[in-house]
Amino acid sequence: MIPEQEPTVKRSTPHDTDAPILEVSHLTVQYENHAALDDVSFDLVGGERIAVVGPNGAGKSTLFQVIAGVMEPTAGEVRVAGQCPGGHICIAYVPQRSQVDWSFPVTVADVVMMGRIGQVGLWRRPGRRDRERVHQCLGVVGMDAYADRQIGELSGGQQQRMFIARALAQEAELVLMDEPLNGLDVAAQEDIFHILSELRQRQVTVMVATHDLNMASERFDRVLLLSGRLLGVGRPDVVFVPELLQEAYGGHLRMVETEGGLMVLSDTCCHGGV
Amino acid sequence: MEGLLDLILAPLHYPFMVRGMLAAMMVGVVCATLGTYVVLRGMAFLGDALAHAILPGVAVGYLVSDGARSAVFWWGLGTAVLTAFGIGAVSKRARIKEDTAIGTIFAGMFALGIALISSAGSYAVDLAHFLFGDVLGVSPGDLWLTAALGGGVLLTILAFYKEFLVLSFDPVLAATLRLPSTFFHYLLLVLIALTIVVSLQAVGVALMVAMLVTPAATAYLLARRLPTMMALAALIGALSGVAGLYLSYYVGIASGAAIVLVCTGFFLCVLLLSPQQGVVWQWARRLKR
Amino acid sequence: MTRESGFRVRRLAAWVLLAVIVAGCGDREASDHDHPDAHGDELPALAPVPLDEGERLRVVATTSIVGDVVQQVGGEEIDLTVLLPLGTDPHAFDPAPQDAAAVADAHVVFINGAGMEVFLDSLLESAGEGVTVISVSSGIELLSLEGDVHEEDDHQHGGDDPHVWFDPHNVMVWADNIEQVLGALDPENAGSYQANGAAYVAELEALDLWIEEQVAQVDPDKRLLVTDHASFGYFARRYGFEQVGALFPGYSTLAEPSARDLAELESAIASLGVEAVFVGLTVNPDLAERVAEDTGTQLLFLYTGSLGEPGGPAGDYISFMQYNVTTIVSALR
Repeated sequence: MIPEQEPTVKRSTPHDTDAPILEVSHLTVQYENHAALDDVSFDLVGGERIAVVGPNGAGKSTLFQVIAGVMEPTAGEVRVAGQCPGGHICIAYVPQRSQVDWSFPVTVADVVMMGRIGQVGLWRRPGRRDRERVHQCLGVVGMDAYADRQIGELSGGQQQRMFIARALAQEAELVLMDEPLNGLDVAAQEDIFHILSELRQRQVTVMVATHDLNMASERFDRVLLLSGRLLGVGRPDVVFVPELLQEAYGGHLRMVETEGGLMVLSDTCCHGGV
Repeated sequence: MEGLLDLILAPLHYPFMVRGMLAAMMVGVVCATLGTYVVLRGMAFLGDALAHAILPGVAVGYLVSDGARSAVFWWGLGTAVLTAFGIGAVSKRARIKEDTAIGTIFAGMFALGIALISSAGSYAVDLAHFLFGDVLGVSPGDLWLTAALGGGVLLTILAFYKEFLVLSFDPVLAATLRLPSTFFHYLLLVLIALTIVVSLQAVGVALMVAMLVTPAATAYLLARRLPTMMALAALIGALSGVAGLYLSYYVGIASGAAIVLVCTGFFLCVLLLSPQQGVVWQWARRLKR
Repeated sequence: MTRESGFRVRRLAAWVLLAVIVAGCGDREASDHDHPDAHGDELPALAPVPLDEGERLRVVATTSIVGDVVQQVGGEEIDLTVLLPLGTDPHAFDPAPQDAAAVADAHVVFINGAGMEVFLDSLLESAGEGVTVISVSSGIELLSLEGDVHEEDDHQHGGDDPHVWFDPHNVMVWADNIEQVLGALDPENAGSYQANGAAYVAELEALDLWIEEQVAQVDPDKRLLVTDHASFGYFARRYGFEQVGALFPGYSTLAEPSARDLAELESAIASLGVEAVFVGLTVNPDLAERVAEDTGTQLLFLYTGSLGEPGGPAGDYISFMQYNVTTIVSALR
């Protein structure tokens, strides 16, 4: 547990602490011949943990990119803590592991330190305080012993935890995670959820894109069902109803009635959204 | 032992050898350091293209100033920078991939250069120098220019080390941290252009890509961290320059080619024999099982 | 990610491109088959060419030096086109389509021969069938790479020295050959050609004598020539000079000297006490300047493969030789 400290982040724009941490209104992203996102609107409060669920091509990655401020929407607005995303450096994006160049010559500590560049500034080198901070963040995710490993030597779970440590080092208040649990065994997944609880205690808001409907309904307070359009946002038992799921997934879903409730089996095709 | 010392010192009696080695060393260091990013970001083709695209600039500089070195240099540099920006612009604007943009612009510029030079009548000699380098013809003035510009490139890389690192490893992180990515991308292209123009004299256009890529690729196989990779690459680059000239002296082959052959030799050795990645050890391990 | 494999493929492509360029830029030997330059000992028997009223014989010459001699013999009776522009290095000339057209239209093409025109084959291919090509150097005893006299039966052309024009006696042979050929093709004006030829040969005799006088001013042990490439073999043999070394190995300006070549050259300069380095005006002087600076010798420019501007110091062959000899003699005296 990181001791409470004065955040060292230099915010370019002051946070409006009364506003919801994330407000998305009528967000539309239009590509040449199709709409990746169509009139999406929702709010998130600080410390929330929400799963973003949908089939391939639903627009989950696109949504994350717009929220992170990396992509401009065609229409609509995103506000992070009352301001536009562009001014903040407190939004962390945890990439899909398949998108990362694991043979890049950097160690775990190097990657986590990269998150601090916003704090270090343009002409300076990272100092002792930054190094201590990196160390602490690695401690939170239990990766302290791996600080000097080259990133290609890590297991899937370790890779994921490293990126979360980087988000912590970045002093992020909103963390966007793209398919973080893909390919992880149960033990590794538990580790991640444990860390996510830590994040919640620190009032860090987490959005997780996932295919796993069962895990989404079990582990998340709210879910967001996306398929180009926003089909539903709210508690899993409210959103994961057959009509909405049918609309989202078309024919790719089998739903099975069990004693515990409705069990949903989805296609195993899904890797790296479109 | 006496004999070995003799072997090492004998060529150094000739001023052109000393100048050539200094030039080759400096070029080796700067190209390899910058080449680290070229290798990590998959920009080898772009580097090669920029080197060839300089030809029309060099041709114009040569023709308007009747061969004056400084004119040739500035025209070459200007053309390289323009081409770099052009490739960036074309691949953003049109729907074609960057790879295609590079290919078309590269070939077009090179052909333009040949056309310009050929209009002067006989051009194969100067073209040969441009293509294969002329490291033995380095003047003291050239050495100072190389040192100054090469030093400038190295300082810039050092100053913006962490920014280039983030941009190369994780552009999305760079975006979320609001780093001016476009600025740094173009800065890197300008640095590559500058390095190429400064290094042309050593190995020429045809072999330039080797100086950018091969020492860095060798270091890539050996290093775990980026600073180590850069330092190793620079060392290998410098050594190759010197060793190449010794080779040219004792065996009697063209100097530019000799330098590149040494670079490649290092790479092959490491590829086969390095403890982690070496092909030979991998076979051995497989056989053991 | 397939970054590494993509990167390797591109490196391979770069090397292939390099190989192609090297192959393309390399010194191409004129092949032996099918053209008159091949052995150049005898002029072929030629039939007269049908000419219309007022039409002149269309003649093409390759280098400006050959062109000048052809013009001296042919005079007003021929319509001469010279392919290589002034200041062009003959070793590096690449003919354009217009050149092929001129060759195709010509009644006769005079070439230097002895392997000088490496571009000849491709030029003749473009020009098509039925072109009469005459080597003006037919019958000249050629030197080989080591400076020895070329054996009559040994028809290896890889190592011939093509720079025959530096010895006026060879140019006299040129004039004779040209006169014979023009006379055969255009018998009407044969008398004119003969007269011009004889007059020119007389001028060349005078030139030869003059050169001997000039050269006598230089001490025999100072008659050392260091040049950009080995072009003065015939001059050296005729007037008692020695070609001590050259910047570019071989007979062509296209080869690149290795560090060893340069080191040997500088050693030779130092040990023999050479005082001047001579460089052709058609060649990039960079390397020569460095060598001259390093060895403390003078750097002087000569006309080698091409004449200079008309009206200038080397506008025709005779002034060309006078200029060169004056420069050499004043430097070495």
